[in-house]
Amino acid sequence: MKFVARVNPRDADIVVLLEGGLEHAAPGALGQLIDVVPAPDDRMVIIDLEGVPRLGALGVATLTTLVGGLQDAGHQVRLRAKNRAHRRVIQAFGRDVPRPELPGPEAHVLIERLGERTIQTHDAVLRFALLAQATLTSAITQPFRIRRRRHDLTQRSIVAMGVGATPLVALIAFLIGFILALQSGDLLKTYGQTLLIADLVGLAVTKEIAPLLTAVLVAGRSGSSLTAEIGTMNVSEEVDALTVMGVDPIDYLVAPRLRALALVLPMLTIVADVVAIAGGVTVGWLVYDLHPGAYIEQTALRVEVGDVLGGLLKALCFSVVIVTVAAYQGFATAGGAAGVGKYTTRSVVQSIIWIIIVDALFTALLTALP
Amino acid sequence: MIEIQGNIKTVGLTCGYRNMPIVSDLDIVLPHGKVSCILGKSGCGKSTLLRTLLLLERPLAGDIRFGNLSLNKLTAEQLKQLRRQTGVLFQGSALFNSMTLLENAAFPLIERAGLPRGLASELALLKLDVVGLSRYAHYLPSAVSGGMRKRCGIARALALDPPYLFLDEPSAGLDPLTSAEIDDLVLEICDALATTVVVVTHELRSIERIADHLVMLADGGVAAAGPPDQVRRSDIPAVNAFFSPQSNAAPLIDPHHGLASLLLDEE
Repeated sequence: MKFVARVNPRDADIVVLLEGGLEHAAPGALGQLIDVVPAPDDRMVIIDLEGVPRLGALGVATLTTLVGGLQDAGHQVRLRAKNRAHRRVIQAFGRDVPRPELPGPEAHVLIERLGERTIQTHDAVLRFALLAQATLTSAITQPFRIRRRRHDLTQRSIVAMGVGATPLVALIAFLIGFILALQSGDLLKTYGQTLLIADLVGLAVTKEIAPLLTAVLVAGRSGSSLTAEIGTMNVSEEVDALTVMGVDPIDYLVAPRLRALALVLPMLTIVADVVAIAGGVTVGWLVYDLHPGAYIEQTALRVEVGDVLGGLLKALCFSVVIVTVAAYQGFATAGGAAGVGKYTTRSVVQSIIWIIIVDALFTALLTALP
Repeated sequence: MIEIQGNIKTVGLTCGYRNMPIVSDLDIVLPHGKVSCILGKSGCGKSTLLRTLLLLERPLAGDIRFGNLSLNKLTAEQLKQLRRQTGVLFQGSALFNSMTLLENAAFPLIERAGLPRGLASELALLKLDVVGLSRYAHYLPSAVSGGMRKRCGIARALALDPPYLFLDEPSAGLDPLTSAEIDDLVLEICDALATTVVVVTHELRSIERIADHLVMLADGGVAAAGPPDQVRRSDIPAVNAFFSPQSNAAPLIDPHHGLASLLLDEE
């Protein structure tokens, strides 16, 4: 199970005799070997494998490490293997065993890498922009065509993305309205202004929370499924099959989803608005003894149509973000089943990041306007 | 609609990915109405060449001519026409997994030819009958065998009776019988419709059966091209090695590289 190196320093060459199986060589073996071998001079180090009974790919890996270590220490190394089987194994596996990389790349390598990354980023941004442009063009022109209007695909997506998501969105929105009312009620009670819960919940929900929350939920639900679908098709050449049949994959796979989501996301947002306010009403009624009628009247007084519309406009923008990010990651998918998983995760994470960035820009813009 | 017909010809074609050429400076002719086989060892660039011929990858240099259409001067409209006139069988069949075999075969008819669904389905059923799959028309691709998926892929490729048919390893991973069936099918199609068929393969058996014209790739270029007899008789080492692999074929692993180069020559 171990190997022994015997070194005879008086010969013309330094001969290292290895004995035993190499595959289970102890981790410190390399250090030991380098210790026994005298400092590099003009003599050749010959590693003799005669005492090694069997040599497999693992043994070759150990051997590669040994040789590499000796070479790094400045030795000239040769291998001696009388056994023909050994020679064949070394020839077969000797190349594929990876050499450990040298640490500390030089400065020009770093600059090269920086440049490479810059070019890659530039390409990615360009590809994303082209995809977004093609998607938007397709989605806008599709309904006005004579043929291939893709209504059936759009309808199917509306059902899958909208109807399926409604209970989830409603549940989460109700709970969020509930939580918001409880949290704010506690504070407002100290000022004796519990009716202002209606203002707070109404404004927070319609302007911010409903669109954001719905978009995040839909990104996790429908964005991921779109990436997984396109990614799987990409990996199994189905996207290429579409292309060579003259069917534009963006027009067929992406644009109908955008049309569906651009309709569905604002609608889900309206659902979230209503249900979250209902959550607030529930808390007001049960906890703070506010009459539901008074609560709703207060909400109606405070929340303006513009607030709701602003939220819906946001939702529209988020739908573009979700579909384009999901499609981009889908088309970028490579590397089989594992790749699909990886890019799906990436799609959801990036969607959420971009949703929040767009939201921040949007809010800044809306508040800056008079 | 313009009818595109004639030889496929490449002029100084270099293909590869990014800036790395895999095969360069190809001047080959794939004759009209014949079955041409592109062959070579795995990794020699067969599939890359095919993807370039299918216009899925941009060539790094050179030109491809379909009949009298030149790739470099192709308008968007001509590209559409060209796509419509090529049928492709991908290596993994690339059937749409969420559609039945019938819907798959009907897809080009609905999408490209704009036929109504009913008529498209009827026509697609005829095509499935040609490949012997009409009994399985309503099965999903995941429910049928690999050979059946390949045959359905051919039915889909043939849906529009294209003058150009590209097959990427139609017999890879199939048993000899099924593979022979597919070969017969290819021959029938080529005879009946005067289709220009381009087959990428490395199966000697199927090359012997169907090829009218061979293009052999090796070392990033064309090693030999011409009728099968002529190519077989040539004395180029790469060609001989391919057709009789037992003989002194070039070793896959370079004995003068890596760890092996340190071996003392004791024999």
